[in-house]
Amino acid sequence: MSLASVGLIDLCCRLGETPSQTLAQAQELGYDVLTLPPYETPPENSPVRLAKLGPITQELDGEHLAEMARYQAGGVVGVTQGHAPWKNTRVQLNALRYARGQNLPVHALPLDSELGRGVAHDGEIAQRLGLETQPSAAETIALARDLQLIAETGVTAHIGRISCAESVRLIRRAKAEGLPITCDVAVTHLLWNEAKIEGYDYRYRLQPVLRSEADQMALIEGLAEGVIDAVCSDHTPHPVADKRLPFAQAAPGAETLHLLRSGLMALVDQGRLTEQQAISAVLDAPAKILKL
Amino acid sequence: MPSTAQLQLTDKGRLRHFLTTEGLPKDLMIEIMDRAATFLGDTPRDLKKRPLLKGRSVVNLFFENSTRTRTTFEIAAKGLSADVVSLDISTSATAKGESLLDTLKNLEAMGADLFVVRHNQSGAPHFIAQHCTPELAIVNAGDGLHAHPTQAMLDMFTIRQHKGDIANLKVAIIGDIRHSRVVRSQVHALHGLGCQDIRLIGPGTLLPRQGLAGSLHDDLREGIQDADVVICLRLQKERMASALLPSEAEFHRNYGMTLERLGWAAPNAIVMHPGPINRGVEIDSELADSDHSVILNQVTNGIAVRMAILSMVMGVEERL
Repeated sequence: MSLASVGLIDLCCRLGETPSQTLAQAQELGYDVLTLPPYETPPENSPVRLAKLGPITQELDGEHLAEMARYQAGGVVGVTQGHAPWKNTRVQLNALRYARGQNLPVHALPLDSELGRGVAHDGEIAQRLGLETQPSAAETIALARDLQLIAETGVTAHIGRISCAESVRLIRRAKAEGLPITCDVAVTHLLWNEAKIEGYDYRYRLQPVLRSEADQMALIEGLAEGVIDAVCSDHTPHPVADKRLPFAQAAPGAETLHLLRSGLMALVDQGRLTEQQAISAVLDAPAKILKL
Repeated sequence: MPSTAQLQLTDKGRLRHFLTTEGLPKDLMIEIMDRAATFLGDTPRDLKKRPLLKGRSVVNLFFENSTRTRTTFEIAAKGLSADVVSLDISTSATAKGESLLDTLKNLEAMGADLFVVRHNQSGAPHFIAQHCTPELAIVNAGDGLHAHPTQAMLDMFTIRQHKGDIANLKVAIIGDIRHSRVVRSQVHALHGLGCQDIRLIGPGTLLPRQGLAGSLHDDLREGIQDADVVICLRLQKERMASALLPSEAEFHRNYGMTLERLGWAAPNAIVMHPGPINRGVEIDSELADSDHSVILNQVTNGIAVRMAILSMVMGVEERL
């Protein structure tokens, strides 16, 4: 089996305003499975197999538990709060405990809602461009809390889209201590870093933000080492009117379906990953996480 | 994408737009100041008007309120005989981006030659310069936390006027360094003009972590020691609301400039402020109204410097 031909299993893809077009593109690029966040509305006959995540709170309000059993009966593979904020830690603890009772995996995207409002990594470039900054602590504070609550509740959990070296360290430690978690990174954060936003390039306004080169390297090493299990596209299509704006006003996210395979192939060519590691990141690991 | 510094220059290294002092070649900064000097008369009333932009139209496009900066741009453009229109456009009306571009396209179609843009988003003038027709020049009148380059150039002009060669000076800037577009532009300009000793002074919450040339000081006395130029910044009320400072009074106790504290700086040090000043917060009245203060010179110089910049981005090459 080669990376060039393997059928991809994506742990996060949004369909955008033209779902059929996104699905057709995914099929053409050799995706076998796409995982959709809550409230995506795919057409009835998708050419690609879909795995759906349900909301863990109602309308992701962070306050009222969603009817997880009903979503489970409807076929969701897990539940998530996405990047939406929790009302408080008590609700989060209860939600994880409830999900555990339903035997539903939780996909957590760690981001502190206040510190996470910054639009660029808290580094030299953002300071110079005068952009509101998002320190790595925006992610690690939430991640540390998530890990504590996962341990507390014993829920099966997957940590999505980590972006910085410190998160790799936290996950490595949690795994070493025996916490049964898995973890993914968006291909964008393996390929790019904060240098991309020079010139206020709104195409690289992402959430979580692109971080330093050292963070990028730590993510690649974390993947090679197996701390990070999977790589996803995090495909997020936006209408051009929402994206072609002054940087901070541009909607976060980019169209990245075409990057998952080619990006990993580039990393393999550069000798940063073995082909087997790359295949595992888009096939074996996500299949296991989704229990396919 | 091109950086802002690249975007503002023509292939021949002349000013196509004026967006930032970052990476602005020293000879262009000196040319701006030399040209501005030719517009100054003996008193503020004698600004020398020249019809260098006769028949050209300048649109002041203000997405963020500013009476002072807008007025000085209007006076500068009129001093060059340009036709001037000023538009205040509330940001809410252009919260959606296509409407920002639509607004631009409409104004372009009316035959404007130059937009003076103020916007609350960092990089908005850069964005506009990227998407407007090539015939149009953009001058940044302040964007978000990013830059206020005409303010920085009028400050450089004022410093040179009073203290001579900037390369040999010690310059201290006090206040909300982290959230100030004025400071970013001042530091880039000072650095570009060879200044080796820039001190940025304020409490930790108002200092940048990295990214600016200059040393960081949370102690006022240490920061202004022997400084030739002391620049006070306006303290915005919002800083208290967002838990960056406890109170104006405490800021004044620790960082407020007084005539007495100016004694820590070099003899004959000048005091500057981009205005409008909060008397009794960042600066005492006694100091603001003293012979050390050049605050009102800054205002007059601002018009001359903006005349120089407007004429340069409009391609007026004549040596004046």
